[in-house]
Amino acid sequence: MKTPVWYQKLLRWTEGDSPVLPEPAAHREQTREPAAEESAYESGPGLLSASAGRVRNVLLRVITIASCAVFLLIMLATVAYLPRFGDADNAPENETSRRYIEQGMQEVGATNLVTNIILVYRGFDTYGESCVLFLGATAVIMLLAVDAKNTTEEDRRVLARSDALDRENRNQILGHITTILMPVILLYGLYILCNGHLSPGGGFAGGSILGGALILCENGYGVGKVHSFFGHRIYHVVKVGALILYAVLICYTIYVGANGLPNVIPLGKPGSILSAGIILPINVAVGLEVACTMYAFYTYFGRGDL
Amino acid sequence: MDINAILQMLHANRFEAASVILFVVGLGGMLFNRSLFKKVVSMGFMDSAIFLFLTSAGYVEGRLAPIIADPAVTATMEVYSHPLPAGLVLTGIVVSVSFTAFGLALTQRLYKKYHSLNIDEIMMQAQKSED
Repeated sequence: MKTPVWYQKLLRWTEGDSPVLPEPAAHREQTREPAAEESAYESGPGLLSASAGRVRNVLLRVITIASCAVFLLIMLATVAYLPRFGDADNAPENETSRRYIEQGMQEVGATNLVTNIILVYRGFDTYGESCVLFLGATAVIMLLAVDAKNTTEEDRRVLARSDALDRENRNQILGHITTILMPVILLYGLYILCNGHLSPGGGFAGGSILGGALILCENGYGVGKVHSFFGHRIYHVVKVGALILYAVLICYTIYVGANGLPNVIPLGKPGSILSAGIILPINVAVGLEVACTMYAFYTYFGRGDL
Repeated sequence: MDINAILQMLHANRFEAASVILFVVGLGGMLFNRSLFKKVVSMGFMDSAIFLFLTSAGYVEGRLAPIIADPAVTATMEVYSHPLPAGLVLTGIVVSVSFTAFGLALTQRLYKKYHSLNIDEIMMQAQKSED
């Protein structure tokens, strides 16, 4: 039976030959050349004949499927013996949860108990998370930044051409809609950021929305608009400053808590916007950090620069 | 134990069962796809499976989300569901975002160097340039 073309294409696609990504013309001859060696490599080391290599490939595939199936069965059997879903007597029902729920608001001050946990009780852990985000953004910048070591002359030419194309064919509709939407998105992001201790949300969610607003600005107003008010200098100051603010606040809380000293930051009245002690400034710091990181991810993947 | 009882227990824990299946789908994707990009996407599947598992562990039938509605009333364990798994999911999401960005950045660099996403082809070219 003859296999249809779309099926062969699908097979090629699942094998990782991406027909979607065009190969750069300059390197096409180079990659086409070693076709003979390629097939020899795929059929295994030189000692094996082609058919033996194919048998080995099929065998590997069967072993992989079997191990996946066995793994799935073991996991499903484990799940069947877990405590029932939604049952009140589940494992998390212990004195830790009880303390967080019954005394969290009096001790820390936020009505959102999850925020209490992630920013104060487990604040050190969340600080580590912010550092992971910081390191992630730093690694992406190291790998993708346009500089003398990373890019060739051809890459620069391609980038300049796409920038020129973007400047010529500005999408007017997107620009006008961005003007209408931008205040609303910024307001929504700030609301979520500052209400983290009262409602679902907080630094991570609000910061993502603010980062999205920056990305929309870059797309709607064209390349370089965001760069005019959010350059490298401001980016580094905001990012490192937010992380240091977070570190200082969390160190203060840990020091005071560990030594039994009185906390001088007032907790305020639970439920009002200016309450919950250090949670609001920490949320703002985390939000700035996340917004910078999201925007950096977007722009370094796209253009290799801020 | 007969199969019916096991199926009933699986149905009682259907969210955990779904998360396990999703996890194995991700694992299979990691093992079978030669494309580095699809390996990163499969890793995202596995992350989502873990999040689903953690959130379903924190749910208690008939209780509210752990946000205190009225600060004047003393909060009790019997009103709100468990807040701790939700906090753990947040940790996981942030690490997963960072991992995805880092993995995709490495993939992009490899594509720029070897003009392929296929892991076999990249290994072959790297071996040849070593010789």
